[in-house]
Amino acid sequence: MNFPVWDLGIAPGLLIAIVATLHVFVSHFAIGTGLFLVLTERKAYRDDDKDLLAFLKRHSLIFILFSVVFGAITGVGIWFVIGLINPSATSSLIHAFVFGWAIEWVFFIVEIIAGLIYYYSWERLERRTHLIIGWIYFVSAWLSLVVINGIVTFMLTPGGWLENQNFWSGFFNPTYFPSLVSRTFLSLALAGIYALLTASFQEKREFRLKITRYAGKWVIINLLLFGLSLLWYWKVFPDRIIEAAQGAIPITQSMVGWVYIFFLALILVTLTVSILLPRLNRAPVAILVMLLSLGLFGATEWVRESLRKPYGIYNYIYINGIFPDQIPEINRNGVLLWANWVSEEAKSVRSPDTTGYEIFRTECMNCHSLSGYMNVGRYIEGWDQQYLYETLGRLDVLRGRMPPFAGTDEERYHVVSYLTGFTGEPRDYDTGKEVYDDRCGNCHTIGRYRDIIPVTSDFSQSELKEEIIPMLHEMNEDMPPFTAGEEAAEKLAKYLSELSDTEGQDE
Amino acid sequence: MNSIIHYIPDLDPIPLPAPVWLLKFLLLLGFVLHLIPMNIMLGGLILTGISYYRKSDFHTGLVRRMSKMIPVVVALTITMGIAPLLFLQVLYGQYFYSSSIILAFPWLSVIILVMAAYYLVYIHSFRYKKLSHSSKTAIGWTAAILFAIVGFIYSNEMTLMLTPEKWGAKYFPDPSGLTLNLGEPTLFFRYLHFLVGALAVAAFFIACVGLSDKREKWFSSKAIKYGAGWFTRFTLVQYLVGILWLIALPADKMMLFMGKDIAGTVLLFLGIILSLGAIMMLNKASQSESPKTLVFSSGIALLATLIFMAIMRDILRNAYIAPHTAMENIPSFFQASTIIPFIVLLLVALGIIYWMMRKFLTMKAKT
Ligand code: HEC
Ligand code: HEC
Repeated sequence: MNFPVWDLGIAPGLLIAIVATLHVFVSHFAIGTGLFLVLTERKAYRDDDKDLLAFLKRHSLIFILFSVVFGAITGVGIWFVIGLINPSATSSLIHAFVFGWAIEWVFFIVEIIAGLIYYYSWERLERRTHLIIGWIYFVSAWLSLVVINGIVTFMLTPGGWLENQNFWSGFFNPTYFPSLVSRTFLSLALAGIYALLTASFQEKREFRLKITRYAGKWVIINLLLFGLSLLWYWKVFPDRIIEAAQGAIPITQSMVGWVYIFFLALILVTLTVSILLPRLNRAPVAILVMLLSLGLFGATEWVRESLRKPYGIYNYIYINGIFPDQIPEINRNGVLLWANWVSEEAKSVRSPDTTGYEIFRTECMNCHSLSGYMNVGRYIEGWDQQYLYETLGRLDVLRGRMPPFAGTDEERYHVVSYLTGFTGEPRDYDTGKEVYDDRCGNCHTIGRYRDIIPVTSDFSQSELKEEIIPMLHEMNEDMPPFTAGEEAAEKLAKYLSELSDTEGQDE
Repeated sequence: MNSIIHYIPDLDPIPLPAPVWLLKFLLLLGFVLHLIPMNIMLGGLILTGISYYRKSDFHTGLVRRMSKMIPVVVALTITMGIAPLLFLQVLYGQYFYSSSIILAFPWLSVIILVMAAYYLVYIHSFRYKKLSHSSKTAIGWTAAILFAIVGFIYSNEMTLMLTPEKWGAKYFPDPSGLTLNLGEPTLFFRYLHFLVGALAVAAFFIACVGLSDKREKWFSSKAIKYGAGWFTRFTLVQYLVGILWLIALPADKMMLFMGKDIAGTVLLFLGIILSLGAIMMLNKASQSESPKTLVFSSGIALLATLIFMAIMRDILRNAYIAPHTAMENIPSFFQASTIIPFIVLLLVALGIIYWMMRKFLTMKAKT
């Protein structure tokens, strides 16, 4: 909130996700392909295999166009995007790790120059020298991962850095090694997937089958190792993060599901089209495999990004640029006084459309948009003003994992008035489940995180209706009062007691 | 608190991991290393574009050579651009992020424009023999224009970040990031100064291409003449543009280079003298039988001019920022455990690059 907030019209997270996934995908595949190229080149020399050499030469061309151009520019692109969307967290990262990036840049220069020379010098340099340059390429590309991995994992698990702000405590943080190992295997698997694609274009049948099998083995072995290293990665996560993946954060939970699906699909499809029936490996199939791997990548990156919510750097700074320890002060003095980027008009006029909107922009539009994905209106449709007000006071308890609302009660009221413009008509609920989803499901789940069943199963339907539902906010301050009316309470009570019954029968 | 200072974000609470002078040195070093390939790339594309309309053997030869080299020069421009962007952010993040958010859409479009232009120069290079004359002309010019637009967006960003008093009026009426800094009186001449400079440096580069071409003697001497001629013309135009830029600056900033700031004044003076020297030496080289030493000395003078101009640019930036942030008071420490590895690795990397380049430049010709 130190910085202006870009009101770009779509969910900012989506923009980050697209640029980051594409970049990380291409850059990983550039690392793995480095190793694939040198190992295969050596094999080609040993077997004196001319076809294989011609294949590698072509392989390295597309590789240059991908990694040197697309990888490099999207890498800068990530910087542009995070600087625009999360400037405060980016500034923290740059201050903490500027020389880490500088070191990565050194590796990057070597990588780019070696990659270009490797491509331009096929058959013109001595074989041994050409191989050495290939190795220089691979090692420097992998070393950039060694560096950047420290910074990426730091954001999720800053470890000892939070106490001492020491570069190396943050760099070698608790998830550093599992992440490095899993990324390395994934990059090797991707190199094989890319080879499957270029193999599929080979004219000679025998040769195509041979490369396909060779690349297939490369993919399967590395994917399995990647899977194992994910398990290790999982074990070192702190509890709060595990909880997030197991239901505390809805989006994370569904992305974890996608990771499994893409992983299994990728292994099965690759096994079929490369080892069992290699003749199937033609362009459309190879592209399908490529897309599956992109899906796997997108899902794993999305899980990692969403686990970090609501922080930009875990336990250090929220995504919206507020430091957690500033919250009490902001609550006392008001966010209008505190934020740099609210207009004079918003401070003096105090209307929903300026004051409410500008506070919402300052605190919430790093994640929410006003239309499309993450559109705030979608979540609050049909809510009454009191419920909205009460919910805004408890944002940090919700499963979406948001930072708490920071500001005075009056400021919160301005935001509520502004958001009331999006709620529309008060809602009529047809079933108890709808009431549950709208009024309880944003904090509770059935059977998992903050399970609703054990806390309601001891009560009868009428107790629930008469004593529990109207008293929630007194039982636990984290809960807003129930404001949807008698009829909805009745439906909810019925639904909850049936829920406990069915659950009871299962046991 | 007055309403101008009001919008400038607070200093990041994490201290700088190196003294300001060191970060500034690295910023300037990186900037010059980025500036050189950037000029060759942009100016080179424009000069190549013009050569398309001249059908002599020399121009055809020039286009062919440039088209092979440009993709590599683009790679260097981007790679070398990363370091200054990094140090700029750590030193001036408060200013830099704020103004880039205000200009968000054009600023982000840089990525797409660069990517498009980059692929175009690759197509131009790899399909050189297959493409028709007119499609090559079109591709070359499109790439040139895209890069020129990127430069223009950078000029917008680099000027807006220095004028925080304008931020509020630009941002609050429309926070969607769809704006440029066109109201800035210095914008036009500043940009023109970069554009003309790029043309001059690219002309110089063509003279160097001539110098290093040992196979075709006629091309070599023509290229040096061509380079010298255009380098002279563009540099003379550059003096005019430079003066206009200086005049467009607010009076107190202009005076920095006219006596108020000793370093600024001396650097401007030296820059003019050295660039005149570079012009004279290069012209002499174009008439000489053995031009090597002259071109080389001229290149040193040009390099020094570029360095001086980069430092002047920094002096100007400081003058804009000084009333709001005292750079010398920003808390910092010396993070030896990362700075030393950085320097050591950089030296090792330079050694490896040197080895690779030597192998590359002495490898056998294509069979
Ligand atoms: C870290 C990103 C983030 C920030 C910042 C954020 N939100 Fe949210 N918000 C979410 C997510 C994610 C959800 C939806 C969770 C889900 O899928 O159910 C959500 C849901 C909501 C909901 C609906 C609650 C529900 O679960 O039905 C409201 C109301 C809301 N946000 C208001 C706000 C307000 C007001 C602010 C600013 C003070 C804010 N949010 C800031 C991420 C964020
Ligand atoms: C804003 C978040 C939120 C909402 C909305 C919410 N709860 Fe809760 N609820 C909590 C928290 C936090 C607890 C504390 C227990 C825990 O952490 O598991 C809790 C506890 C409870 C308890 C046990 C209270 C006690 O002290 O024994 C009941 C019963 C309950 N919730 C029912 C509901 C019902 C029914 C709804 C829907 C009308 C609902 N809650 C909506 C956050 C919420």
